[in-house]
Amino acid sequence: MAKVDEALTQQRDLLAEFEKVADELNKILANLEGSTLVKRLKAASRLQITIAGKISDQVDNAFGLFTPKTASPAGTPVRRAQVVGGANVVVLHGANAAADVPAPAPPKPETPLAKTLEELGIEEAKGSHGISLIMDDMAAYFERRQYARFKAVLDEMRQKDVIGALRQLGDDLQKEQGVSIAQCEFWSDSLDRWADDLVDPSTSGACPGSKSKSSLPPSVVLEVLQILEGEVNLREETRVAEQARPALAAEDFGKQAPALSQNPGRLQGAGRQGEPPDQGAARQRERSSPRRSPCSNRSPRSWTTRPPSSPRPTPAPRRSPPRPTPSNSCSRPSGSTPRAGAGAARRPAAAGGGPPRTSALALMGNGMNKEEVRQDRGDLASDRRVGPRPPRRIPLRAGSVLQQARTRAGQPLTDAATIGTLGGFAMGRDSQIGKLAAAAGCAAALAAGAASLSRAAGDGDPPVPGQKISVVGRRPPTVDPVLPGGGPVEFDRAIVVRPALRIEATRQVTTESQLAQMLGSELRLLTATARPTPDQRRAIALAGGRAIKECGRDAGQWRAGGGSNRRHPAVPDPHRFIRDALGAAVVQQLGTDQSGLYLREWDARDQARKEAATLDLVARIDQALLLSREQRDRVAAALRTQWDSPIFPTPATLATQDDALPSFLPHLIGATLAKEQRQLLASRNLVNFGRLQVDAFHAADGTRYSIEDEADDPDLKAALAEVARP
Amino acid sequence: MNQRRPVRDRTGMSTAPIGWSLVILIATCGPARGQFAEEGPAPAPLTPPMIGIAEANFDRWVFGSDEASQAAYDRLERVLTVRIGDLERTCGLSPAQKNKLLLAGRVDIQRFRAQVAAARSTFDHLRSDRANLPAVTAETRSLAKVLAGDFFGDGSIFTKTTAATLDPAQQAHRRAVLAERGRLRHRALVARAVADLGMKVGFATHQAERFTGIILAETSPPERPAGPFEGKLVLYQIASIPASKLQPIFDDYQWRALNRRLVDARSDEPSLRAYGLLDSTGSTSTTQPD
Repeated sequence: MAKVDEALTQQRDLLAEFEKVADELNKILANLEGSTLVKRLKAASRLQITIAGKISDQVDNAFGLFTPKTASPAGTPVRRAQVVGGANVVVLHGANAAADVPAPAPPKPETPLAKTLEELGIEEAKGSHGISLIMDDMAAYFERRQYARFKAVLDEMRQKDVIGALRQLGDDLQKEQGVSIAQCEFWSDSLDRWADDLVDPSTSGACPGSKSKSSLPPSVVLEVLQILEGEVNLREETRVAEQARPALAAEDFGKQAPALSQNPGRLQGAGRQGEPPDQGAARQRERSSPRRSPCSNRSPRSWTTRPPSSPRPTPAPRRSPPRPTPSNSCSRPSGSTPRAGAGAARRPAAAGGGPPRTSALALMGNGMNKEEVRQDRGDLASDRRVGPRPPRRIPLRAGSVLQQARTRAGQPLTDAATIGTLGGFAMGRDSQIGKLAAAAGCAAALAAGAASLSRAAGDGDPPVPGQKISVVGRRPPTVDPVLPGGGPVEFDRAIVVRPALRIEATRQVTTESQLAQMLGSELRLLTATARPTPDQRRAIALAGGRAIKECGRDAGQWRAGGGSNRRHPAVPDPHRFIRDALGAAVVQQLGTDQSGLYLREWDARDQARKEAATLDLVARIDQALLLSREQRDRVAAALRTQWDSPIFPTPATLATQDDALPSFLPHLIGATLAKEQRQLLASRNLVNFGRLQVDAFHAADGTRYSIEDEADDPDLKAALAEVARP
Repeated sequence: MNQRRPVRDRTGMSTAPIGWSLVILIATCGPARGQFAEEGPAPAPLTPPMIGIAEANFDRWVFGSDEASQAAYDRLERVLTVRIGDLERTCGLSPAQKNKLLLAGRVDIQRFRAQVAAARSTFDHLRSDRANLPAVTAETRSLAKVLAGDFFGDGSIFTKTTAATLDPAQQAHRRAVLAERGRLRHRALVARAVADLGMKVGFATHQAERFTGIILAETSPPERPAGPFEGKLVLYQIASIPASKLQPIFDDYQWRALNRRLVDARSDEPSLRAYGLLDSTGSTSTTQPD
């Protein structure tokens, strides 16, 4: 009996603990809903079919209400060309009908029907925006993982011009209801099919190796979910950063990046502050498993030290691609592997509920999950994408955020802080970033941002707690990052953050992390060639770490300028950054003779890369144009002269497209070819590789492997610590 | 405008009672016509619109754009010319052989034209209803795949005719040229992979040379073109080499960094298998060494 009482007590405590975090869990889970590409495509598909249904509901009131003015010859079908999915369709009216009846005039705006259609048109435009975001993320994901199926789907989406077609559909919806229904259904089918095409048949979302030895307490679940959500948010910021390049600000704000990068890591530490002593053992058991789990493979450190700044280096779980993962995959006992991924993906009707093992996919999408809460992630990207638009005003509940920060921080806020920490506020993630900042002890940042923001916004009266404040998110006014005097400040102020500030800071940190990976490669090369002593190696690594910060700032500024920075008019070579940075340290530590071994290796390796790229191109051209041996030699000689050109591909860039030929070939080797070969080359689709996109700052797989993966080298770890030091 | 039928004087023309005539008259005219007396002729009832597929889509799906069909056929002619030129250069074709091969290639092109025409006919038949879209696109997709692939490769009349037309010495030359071309491509892919891995892992050039030597000794060119999967296939081949042969080349740090990438390369096996580049045992379908 005593055992029953004890069990009941435990259950009661557990329920109470769940109750405490239930709201936060629900909110985070809802935000995570949109985190995977398959789910988001499915949701977009359902949106289209929902719109089609709504139009269908209204169409009875729209058809046949108008008197025809003219009649067409009997039996003559009339076709009106429409555009569906980037492809033309024709609308065939019945042969005996007065088919050339003019299209019904659009209902007057004041009618309920017109209002409904207008709302649907707006909804359609939002759907188009959502698709554009999905495509951006898909492009970034493909750059990281190079999965062919993602490229195939992305290419097809681009070929179909789904974004433009949906935008057009939003405009045509009020004039052509019947065709719009068909178009919505078409796009629903297409989006659903694309989502299915993204599913990896080999795993179907299964997530092996995630067995937990004991149940995690809800607070830990919440913490993990918060970390996951933070990662999703960072991914979003990556896209925004890339697409808002022209809005970047001056270099002064770049130094704020470390604070931005440290926030999530601090969250992890803060989340454990309230850990009960008796949970230490269980927590110790669990501490390593999420880091090594295929589901959540990366620790917060890995994505704080390398936050994203562009589609290519978007941080994401290394082995957790956006495939349909069963909602309980990470906590499911091993041995039970419901393959709900692809199957459930094909059954959108199953969404909105289901047993615990229902695929998370099935719970996704507007209207399917009654409990869902869609998160507003801002639209900086869309503003730039579609051209000039009125600035979007994003409501923020600054009061609640700051109140939360004050409550959770529980300490005087006197530290000078960086406004970069506050970047998330402008994106509407007020509560989450507020928690992050508060938990990480960055409340001073909130305070500084609040005060300076209030000044910058020119608001006369500070807002009161809970008051909704509209913030111009696209081009907010410049703010002073540090509170004058650094003293105690008022909390309840509005917060506006200039996006460019956050973007540049993110870029710098991203660049630093990529350079750090290159440093790891260089340290390995140094060891293999110059054989330094452990002390020498450590000293060189530390020098490299210090240099990375400087290199990162320069490279970040160059990237922030979209490749046209005044200080760096030419394409900078990050490998050369590292080489120059390490060169002096190597000479100092190893002496001239020993360091020469390493420095000469650079030239040899550059030569090897040049030969590899040349050989690859010659082989491609040979496959396409069937060269003779003499032609191959002449083509190779011509190609070697172009190695220093910024448009000449490197082995890394060539690896991105195995069967493509570069666009400069006709000019470079035209004279070497026979007439038929020249004509055949001219008829091929040629591409611009460039060495910038992949090789210059991304080292091809710069984001596939986190720094932690590389940092099994103690000297590299020490160098990274040097980079992370403020 | 009055739509009522005028009542004629039927006196002397019929014995039918006037009452019946009036009944028929009223039934024929109907009261609704009067509603449109001021609005013109009545419209025929609208039938539900059918959504079809425009004709221009066919060329777009098969050839890439509306006007690309002729350009595609011209490109095939150029490919044929270059192929025959290559055979002539490497095997020394006689004029008769050259004409025969030219004819065979053109038969391939003509056969493709016929397939396109048949598909277009089917397309025209089905395109009136959007519900047929999957069937239509499946056919156009297969044609586009033929066009984008090795048009005069295995299975074509050109290849069969080439095998039947060349004498044994010429065929030996041809096989040697094809093998040389395949080896060149394979060597290029290996060099690219080693150079790329070298930058990421941090090889010295002497290590890269040993690494390349082992890869070339342990792997062979694929049996058929791997297309967009060439790079992945080579990395998979490298990852399939026993670690005992590769690990001695590198120090501990390098090997750990390299091994992470090789493990990642092995994860591409399902894609390669789906493309038909791996056999049932997971090994690469490669050409036999000459």
